[in-house]
Amino acid sequence: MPKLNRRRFVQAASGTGATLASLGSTQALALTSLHPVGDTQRKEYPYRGWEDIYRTEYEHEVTGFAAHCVNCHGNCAFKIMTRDGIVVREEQLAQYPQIAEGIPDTNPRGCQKGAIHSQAMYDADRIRYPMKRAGERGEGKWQRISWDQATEEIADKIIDLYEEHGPGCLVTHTGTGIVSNGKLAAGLRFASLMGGIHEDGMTDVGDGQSGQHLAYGDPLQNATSDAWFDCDYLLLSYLNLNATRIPDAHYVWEAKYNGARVVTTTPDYNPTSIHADRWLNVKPGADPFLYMSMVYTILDEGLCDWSFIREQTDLPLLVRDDNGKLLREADLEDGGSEEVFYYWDENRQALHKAPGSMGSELKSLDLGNTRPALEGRFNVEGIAMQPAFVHMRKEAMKFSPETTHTETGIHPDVVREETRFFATAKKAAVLSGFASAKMLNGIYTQWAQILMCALTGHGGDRGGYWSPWTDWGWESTYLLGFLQTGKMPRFECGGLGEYIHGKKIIEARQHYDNQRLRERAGFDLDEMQAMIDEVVETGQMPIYHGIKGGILMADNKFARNKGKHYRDRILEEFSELYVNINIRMDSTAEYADYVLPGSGHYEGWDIRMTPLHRFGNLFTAPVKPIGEGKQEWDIFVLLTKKIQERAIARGINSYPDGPFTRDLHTIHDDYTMGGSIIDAKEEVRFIVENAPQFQGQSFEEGVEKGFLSMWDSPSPASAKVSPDKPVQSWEKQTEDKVPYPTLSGRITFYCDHPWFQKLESSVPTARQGAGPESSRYPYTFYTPHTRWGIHTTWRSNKYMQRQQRGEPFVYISPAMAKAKNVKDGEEVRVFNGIGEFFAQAKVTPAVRDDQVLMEHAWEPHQMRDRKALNDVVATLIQPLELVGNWGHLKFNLFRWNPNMLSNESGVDLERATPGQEVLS
Amino acid sequence: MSSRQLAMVMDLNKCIGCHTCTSACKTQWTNRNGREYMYWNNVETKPGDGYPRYYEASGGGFDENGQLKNGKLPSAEDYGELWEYNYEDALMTGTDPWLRPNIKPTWGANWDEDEGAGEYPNSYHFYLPRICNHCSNPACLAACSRNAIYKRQEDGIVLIDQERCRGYRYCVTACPYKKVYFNEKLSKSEKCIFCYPRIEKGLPTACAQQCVGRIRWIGYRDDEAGPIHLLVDKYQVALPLHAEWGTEPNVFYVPPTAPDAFAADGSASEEERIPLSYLESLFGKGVRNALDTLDAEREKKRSGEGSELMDTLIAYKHSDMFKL
Repeated sequence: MPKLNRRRFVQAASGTGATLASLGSTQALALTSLHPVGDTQRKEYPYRGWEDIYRTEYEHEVTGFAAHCVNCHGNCAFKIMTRDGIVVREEQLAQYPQIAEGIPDTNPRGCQKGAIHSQAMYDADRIRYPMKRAGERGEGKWQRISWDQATEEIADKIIDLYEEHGPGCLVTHTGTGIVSNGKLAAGLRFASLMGGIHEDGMTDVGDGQSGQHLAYGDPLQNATSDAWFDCDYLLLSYLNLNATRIPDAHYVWEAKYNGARVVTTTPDYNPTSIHADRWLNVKPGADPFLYMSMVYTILDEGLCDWSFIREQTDLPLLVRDDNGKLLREADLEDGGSEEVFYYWDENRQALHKAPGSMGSELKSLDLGNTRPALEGRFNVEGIAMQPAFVHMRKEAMKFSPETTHTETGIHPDVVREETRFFATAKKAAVLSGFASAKMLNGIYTQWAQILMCALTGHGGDRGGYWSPWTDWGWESTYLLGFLQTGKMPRFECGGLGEYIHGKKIIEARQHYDNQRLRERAGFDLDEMQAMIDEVVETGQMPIYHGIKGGILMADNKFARNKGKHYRDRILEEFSELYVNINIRMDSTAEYADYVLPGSGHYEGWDIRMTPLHRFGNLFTAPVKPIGEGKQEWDIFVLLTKKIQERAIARGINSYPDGPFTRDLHTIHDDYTMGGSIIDAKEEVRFIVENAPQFQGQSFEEGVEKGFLSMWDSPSPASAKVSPDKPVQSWEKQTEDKVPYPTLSGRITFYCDHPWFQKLESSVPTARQGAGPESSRYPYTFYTPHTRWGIHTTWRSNKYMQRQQRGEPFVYISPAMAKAKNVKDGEEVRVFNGIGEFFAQAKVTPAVRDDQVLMEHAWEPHQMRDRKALNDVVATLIQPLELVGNWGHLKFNLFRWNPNMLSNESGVDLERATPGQEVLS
Repeated sequence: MSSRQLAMVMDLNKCIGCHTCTSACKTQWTNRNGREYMYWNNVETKPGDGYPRYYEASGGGFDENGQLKNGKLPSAEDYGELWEYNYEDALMTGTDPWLRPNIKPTWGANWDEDEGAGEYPNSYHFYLPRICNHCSNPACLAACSRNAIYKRQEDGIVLIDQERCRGYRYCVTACPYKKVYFNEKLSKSEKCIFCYPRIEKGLPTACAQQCVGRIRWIGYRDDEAGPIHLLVDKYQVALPLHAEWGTEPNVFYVPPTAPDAFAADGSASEEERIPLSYLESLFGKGVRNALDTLDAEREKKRSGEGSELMDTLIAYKHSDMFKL
């Protein structure tokens, strides 16, 4: 084909423009006089030479592999396609092996966001150079500086702070914005050496699964998504996986074709419900009532698995009549343990010490030749007692499907029918989403759901309760991140830390009516505050004061946190220094003193392990970082080098810090292990080579293939990991009788901590959320995860926005739209006493008339006048989650400390008047 | 008819509305060169006005006598004007107060996402991904006065000769699915090319290869051992969209099921959540039969009997979905 570039129509930014230049050819010009062709449908078309145009456009070079280091559970291997060093495209690798004949493979993992990152990475919000604030914080005025200047100024400032205030005044937090192991280990290692404050990333974002920890003793024991496939019953509780678990959702719909029944529960008819067999449209905040009525039905209809209950749960443990406490060895024996409990052996008609508890020498659940009683009243040494089962049942009997009908809106026939399906399934799983954790009564919802599972024997290879995050394969990350340093960061409570530092109680007091809150949730703000004070003062829940500065990486906290004054309160704490390491000018980076450019997903070395499948994906630096960006490990290498140089120059020695010393004068040597891990590639090699799950596979093999398989692994602790079957929790407990990591060694349904007793929650029961009823505003404000971002990442990308409305929107029902005289596409004002924001109305019958639904994680800077959606959100701490001194209910990173709650505010809504500003 | 015909089946029961197909197509073909506004692949929520807006009422296709019907050229507004963002000004220089589109968006490729119809709690909607149907009787081809549109004999892919096309846009109006787009920059019409540069290398289309819901099968219509024959001909669970438009599409859809509806008192209702008449208006009279077959075969799988149809729809191996 003749090629003349005389008429160059296009110069495409993506580097593929030259291909269409061939269009301006003499041949094309010649066609102004039309050459005849025959029947173009039935005969071969004579002029097919032009087809090379698109063939040329398809050409590319694959220069490496990457996944995306964001806080999703995807972790999907992509091949990165480039032209002249510019990424033009990415495509899923889709090469994961099928692990067994009867289980669908996990190809081609990915989503619409990862599949456009090649475009987003070059957007103008990309941070390309180190920058120093040139105006007031948040003013948006920046001065480009060199890495040398940036690190030297920051190093000196850090030393100033340590000199003046000692260790403990600096937040060095790596958030959940990057969940790749390399980047996270880089930040953690710095925090460990510095003794910086690092918040619990799980509860910080509201992902803590408190009910699951309460019952099982570890909320991070779950299943890979392929384990969903061979279930014959799946209950998706606030798990909107069509939107939020995009690479894994297929397993549910393939399970359905495999014969499984699929049920969803949410107030709104969400993108996942559309494919279910049944959608349970539970009223907002009424979930625990629904599940307690299912527990009722299981008990009422005798759908129980008695041997599972006797062996695996604490329901046989004896509870004293006089004080409601579990009978302990210490009650009967001098010097007896507080952590040994009893059941009544029906075979011998005698008390029996339950094996497997924290205080028991027998580390097995094996009942031997005993048969624990579940009923009856027993008297021993003048103490009357009954099995916990009796208390559990008595409470459950308050929640018949008829009783809860008004509360939940679910018809009793539906409850009973669904309970039977669930109970009689061979393998049933409750798949819980993180939205349930963000409700005030999430702990009740989860506890009741786990009780449903336990009563019907759904555990181990018969299913059970699975939340989305499994602690699997992170051993070498933690080794590099802190264990190898011999030191620790100051780990702080996440949700509670944000609550206290952000003074969120102020908005809570403005928003909630104490009386109504008490009626619905069982406590009021004064009680909550007193309990917070107690656990903080006694150190049960670690919170650090005296903060003077912060170095934040991958934590868009100013977008996520609640209340419009949160940001100012945190900036006040960061009074002397605020550094943000980022690739994008997000709503948190905008307010920094220094912004340091990191490396994007395709621009460095990394490895990512993830909770929902068994492959560790390698990031092989397909292109170099954009601008002067640096890989995160390399940033800390550089920063510690400066700190060490400046410390030596300033004559600084070790700072004593509790059991540790903070050695700024050797921090670079310590960070790099004496110079042995000097760059990010070597860091990733360390993580791979020290990972037990990759034994027998080399770093080079991973680089070659793009991924490594986690065939065998010591974690997750409760699973029996094998190469040809899905991973699922608690198999060691159900099959090998290993105790659960709970106080009693059993699945816990009785907690006699004084606060559980005071809140009348010693056994699973139901409470309402705070809801709009506790406020003066009529509508529930519900902010579930969006499919269009991984939180705020990609949220403002134009390709993603063009698939939405281009600007923030709320979903409202046709009835609400009518009542408020609003049409689809018009702007509304959402408000309450603590804030307001503006958004476009999207009208759909998929939502309730009393619900304002807004997908979460709009950047505050995407909203009119920067009035953020979280400006109207007041929040609370669930008091039960404050318990910090009862067996397994102690501060436990990623597992047990109070969660950030999102969905407990009331709002009102009106048609916006153009230019309207009601609140200042 | 071409000598062979490639076809695609999309299972709407597995489509999760994630738009990875759209992203895949966008970066493969339409993020440049005057195609920026186009979505050769789009996913729309049904019921809904679709993309481009009101395309189902825009005419085109053939009448009962096989004559081309008049069609309407969608306006720029029907596609949605392409908006851009002020990243630099709002975020990097502090010269704009907040990040926002440069024009007020009023329509787009997925404007009515998750809206649907019905009345809560019996609301209903589902996702409908659409590409060019590479019809056996393409209206675009019939309407092109320059004979610049043809079907490739080896695979039936419908292409617009980019050298011969003069941008008269008869094809744009004639296509009842409105899947031909006008490139203003080049004054030519363009559309989905079924990724022939990939097909020629033995690779599936980008939209199918990258579909994480695993809803798309590709193969030749005449391959009796292939998935297309099994789904379209043998079990007849995959149906063309708007067959009444007369273009004989080669993209087929497994129609959607939905959860039970509720009776007025909240108990389970016998009514279909998605009215059968609505599904039939899209996929024709074969819907009832297709849904019954899906039910019956799923029941076989549940009872342990096994089902070739369910095993195909499960797609144990992603690579087995494509037979090229």
